[in-house]
Amino acid sequence: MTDCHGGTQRARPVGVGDSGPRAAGVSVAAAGTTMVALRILLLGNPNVGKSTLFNAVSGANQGVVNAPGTTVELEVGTWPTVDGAPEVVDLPGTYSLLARSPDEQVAADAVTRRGVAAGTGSDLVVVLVDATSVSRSLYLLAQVAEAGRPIVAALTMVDRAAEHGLDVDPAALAAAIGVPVVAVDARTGAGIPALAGAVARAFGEPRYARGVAVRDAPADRTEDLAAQLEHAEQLFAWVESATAHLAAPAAARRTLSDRIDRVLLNPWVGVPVFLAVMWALFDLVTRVAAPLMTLVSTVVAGPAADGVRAVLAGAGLGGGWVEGLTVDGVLAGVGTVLAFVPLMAVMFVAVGVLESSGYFARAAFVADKAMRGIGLDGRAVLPLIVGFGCNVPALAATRTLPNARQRLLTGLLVPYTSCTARLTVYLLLASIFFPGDAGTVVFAMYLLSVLFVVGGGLLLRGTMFRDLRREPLALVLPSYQRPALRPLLLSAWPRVRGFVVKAGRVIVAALLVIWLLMAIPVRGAHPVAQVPVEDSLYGATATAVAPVLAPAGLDDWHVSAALMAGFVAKEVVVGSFAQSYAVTAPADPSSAGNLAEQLQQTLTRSSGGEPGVAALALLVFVLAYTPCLATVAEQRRMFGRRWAMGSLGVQLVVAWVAAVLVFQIGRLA
Amino acid sequence: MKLRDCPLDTEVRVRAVRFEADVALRMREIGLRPGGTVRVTQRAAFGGRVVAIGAARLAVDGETAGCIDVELVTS
Repeated sequence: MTDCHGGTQRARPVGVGDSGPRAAGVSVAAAGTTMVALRILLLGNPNVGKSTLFNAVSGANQGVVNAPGTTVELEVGTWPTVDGAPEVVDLPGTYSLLARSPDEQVAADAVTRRGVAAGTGSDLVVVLVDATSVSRSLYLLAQVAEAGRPIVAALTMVDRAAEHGLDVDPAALAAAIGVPVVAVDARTGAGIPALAGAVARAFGEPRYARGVAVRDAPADRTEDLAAQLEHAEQLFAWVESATAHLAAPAAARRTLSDRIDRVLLNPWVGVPVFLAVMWALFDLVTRVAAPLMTLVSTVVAGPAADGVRAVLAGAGLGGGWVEGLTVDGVLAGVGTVLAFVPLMAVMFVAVGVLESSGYFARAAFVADKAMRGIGLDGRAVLPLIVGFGCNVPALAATRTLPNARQRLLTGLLVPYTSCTARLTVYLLLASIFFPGDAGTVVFAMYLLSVLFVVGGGLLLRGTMFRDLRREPLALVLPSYQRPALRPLLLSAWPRVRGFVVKAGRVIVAALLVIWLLMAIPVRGAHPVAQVPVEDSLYGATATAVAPVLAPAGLDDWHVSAALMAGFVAKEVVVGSFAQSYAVTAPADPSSAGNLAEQLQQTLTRSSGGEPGVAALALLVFVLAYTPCLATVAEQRRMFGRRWAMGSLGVQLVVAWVAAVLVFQIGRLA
Repeated sequence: MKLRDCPLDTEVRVRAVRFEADVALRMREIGLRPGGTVRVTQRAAFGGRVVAIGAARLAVDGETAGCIDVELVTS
């Protein structure tokens, strides 16, 4: 190939369009006197330690944003130890700039300045080179070089390579490819200062890969496939030349990961282990998060509410509609959101442990056959598992599937994965109606959720998705490693914060609307905000809807009111129950405010003396019907209004039929 | 011989990767290239295989493993 770089410094034209989103920048010596904002793009194959490196260099200075015009999330931070604290962006992992998914397209666009990322200039690309798979990493690096980007290479997984008898010398590799190569171990921090130094020097003296010609029009998927293959062979030849000095790995060396895989991927052991890991994950969430949720709720409903009432009373606003709006509307909504935080945090960290330990990829591999049975490949298990945390990011995760029909099918199934928001309702009902078997009931709900996903997938695959093309599964398996807690916490925090902000607005707004509906009288001569719920606009609506639920033993306005609120978000269901009972004169004054007793009485009455069976029907209804407005909105955005509305309608029908079946069959038992 | 039929821990050379061109390109990008040497390290459920490509490990499902032609490395 033509050597047009020679690994030497090269002045880079600097223009307005190159400026990144940062207001502040770093001076670039090679660019003369022009001051430009600089960005560092972290690019690499999946599972090479990119996010760990990002967390190590940015620390707490990070957040999560969507790539422009997409739902692909990018972690963006600053690198404070590099002069000028430049912005650093953790791009989605990819094997190639010839993107096969929207996530990969975001990475490719950021590097090549095409499409949605055009104009968001990239000034330096830190390419992570996996020491266990140098050739695969250098192929990607060569594509970056073709795009004319200056490069610094971060050599990762050196310890893993050593297990295979591979000794990758950074200096020799740097000499071969023409750009700085720094060995790093982001888990321990080793090499990070040296990498920061290399990055700082590269801003002043940019380095380009030797032996790779810059292409005026970087390769993309619009090219003829034969041309793509032919060009890829040229890059493979460059990679082969650049890695000629490397020794081959020791033949047939069996590593610790191989030995673990002998057990975890064994045909007879792999599936039970997979199920056990999933069970352990949710048992952990149940046991650890539930007491924390209770604690937060208690604090908000007790001391916090008392404090707000005292402040309002001091301001002469106590006892009226202002107090009701503030305490029963705003504070109740905030409390619901805050109570949800421990659950989300535990879930994100737990999923992070699975990912960083290397087991997540094995889970996708083990689940491949089951996914293939419903027309998906093993990769679909990832968004479906994420769905058990939250359906909204799960829908975004379907974008990693390379086939649009697969994305749609997965996106239609995601709402049946039981998100953690629904767990709050499960815990409430299970602890009230099945106090001795609450854990078993909650676990059964997750199993039922899996059955809904599989059944729904089979139904759709055999009807509307018969055209679905099968994609071969080829997953790179990272080595097993012990997860490091700090990067997991750093990574989980912005996600939890994002959820709180995103869901919190909806929840608080929804509860305010509910409070307002409850404040408007439709019967009787009540003043505004002093209306018994039955006489309010909200109660009237819930009362009108309730008979529809009679075949499921749930003909009660408290239940229909809570389920109506659940359209907004499942976290609201518990709050709605509490709110409706709190403003209703209880049948027994000694149990005022006791939600458990109130619900017992309600379901006993609505079911004709079968409260346990009715509770099961309610649990099934909550599992199957629309998760939240955010999910509907995301489905609509991704798949269009027709699919979103159709999905919503089917969810309601499925939920009603399943709840009726549970109640009618259950009361016969 | 298909990759799916490979004995464990035996070096084989990839002869052909029989997929449509776009999939074949991705296979090459992740390391499954005709002429390359690989080794099956693990048999998984439903015909899945874990393949060593150098120091890396690649998991392929049974159907995919049946679309990759290999031959024993004799020397």
